[in-house]
Amino acid sequence: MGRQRGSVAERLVRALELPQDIVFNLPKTTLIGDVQMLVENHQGLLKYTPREIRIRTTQGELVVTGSRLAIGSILPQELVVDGRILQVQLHR
Amino acid sequence: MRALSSLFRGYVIIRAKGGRLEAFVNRAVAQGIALWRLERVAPHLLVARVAASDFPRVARAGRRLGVHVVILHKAGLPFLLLRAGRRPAFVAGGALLAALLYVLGQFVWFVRVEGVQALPPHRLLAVAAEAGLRPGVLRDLVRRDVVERRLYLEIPQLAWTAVEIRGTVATVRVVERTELEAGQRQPGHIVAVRDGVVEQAAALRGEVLVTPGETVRAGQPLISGMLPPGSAEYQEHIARGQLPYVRAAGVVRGRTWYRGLAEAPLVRVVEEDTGRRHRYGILRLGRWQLRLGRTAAPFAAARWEEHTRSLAALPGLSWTWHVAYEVRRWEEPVGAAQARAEAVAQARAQAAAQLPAGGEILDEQVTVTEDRSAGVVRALVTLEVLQDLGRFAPIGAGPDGQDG
Repeated sequence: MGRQRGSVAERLVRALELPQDIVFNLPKTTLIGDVQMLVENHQGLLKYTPREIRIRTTQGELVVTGSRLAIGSILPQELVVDGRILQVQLHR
Repeated sequence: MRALSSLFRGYVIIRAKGGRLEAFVNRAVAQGIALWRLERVAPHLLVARVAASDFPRVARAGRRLGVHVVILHKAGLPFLLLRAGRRPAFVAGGALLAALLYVLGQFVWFVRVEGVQALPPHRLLAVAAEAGLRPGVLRDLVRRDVVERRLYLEIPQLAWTAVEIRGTVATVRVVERTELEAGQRQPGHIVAVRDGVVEQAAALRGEVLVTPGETVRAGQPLISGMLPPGSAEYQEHIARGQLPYVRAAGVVRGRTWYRGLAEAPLVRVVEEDTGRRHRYGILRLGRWQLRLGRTAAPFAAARWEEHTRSLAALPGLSWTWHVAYEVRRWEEPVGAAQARAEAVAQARAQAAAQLPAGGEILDEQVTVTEDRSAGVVRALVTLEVLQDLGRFAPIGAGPDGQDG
């Protein structure tokens, strides 16, 4: 049922050319080289170590691995990861 | 932007200690609190920055989750003012220093002169000081137009001057008049710079001695600086008690020749590295040296390289590697056409290198000879050039007007 409604809504959003990240609260990830990553619409921090950061999103877990990882800033809607980023994965 | 606002509003660096640090961060963020520069310094330890006004809420969130939050450092303007309020003498000292710097900045402390060539700078400084520009004077009291006018009036050699005051430094910029030097007024002839055939001769001052088509030798006078006896100018010079000479000026263009001779080998030695190498090192300490390895390379033919290293901290100590790369050498014949082309190109370059500025090449003659016994090809390139043939030679410098 949810999927049905979702796909109709998705089609509508696409037809009206509305931004999907805003309408569906989808996570939006911006990677700047391998030194910074901005995650918008996150839902909280699951794990934080200098080698791995796990972030909860509506789509699943966003796993960032690298070295000397630090959280540049964290706000209710926005999270910035600094450090040397080697891999970004979305675990559903 | 956050950095600026947090500096104005004040922020604290906190240390959170406990087992559920991620949950603590999420709890704080859920309450609308921004955290920045989070660092996980140890598995149970987190350092972060938070606005000073948010600290009580952060500490409360921590307490609920069993996380102990303490302030490591307070930073930003409110804390700075608070600290300053406790040390009035320090603040007063700072304010006094700022006031003193402001007052001292209102004076001219240095006066510099730029652009002088022959004039002594102290003379300009003395005139500027008389007009009110000197170290220790209040900047607002200096009237730049007055100083500039005074400089023009007192020093006639100045063509242009400008006074600029920037901070506590005043700069007097000047340009001196260019006057003809004594040497440029000296009488003399225009003489031939080298052997050639005159094509064109015209005098601006003095008397032309050659005609187009005439062959001249190097040093031969082309335009005479001696006034013809009996001329009005000659009489004028004599009447004024001057010698009857002028500084000859004019243009004499003519054809002249430049040669370039070069040879190229018919056999070339080719060298190739075999990949084998031998090396030895020398350690030097002042006059003492220690050699490591044999100096002679066990190769029939080798190319040597030398690398020296030394330490800035230990002068006198150096370490040199001598490396011999074994090479294989053999002779390869060069095609006659290629050797000819190389020899001609070299000879041409040699001839062209002698050309003066403004010289125009009219013709080129190439002679090539092949000397099999010597294994070379020789080329002779002769360039026929139209150029300025004259140069100035002062009178009295030589028997025929040449100097030297």
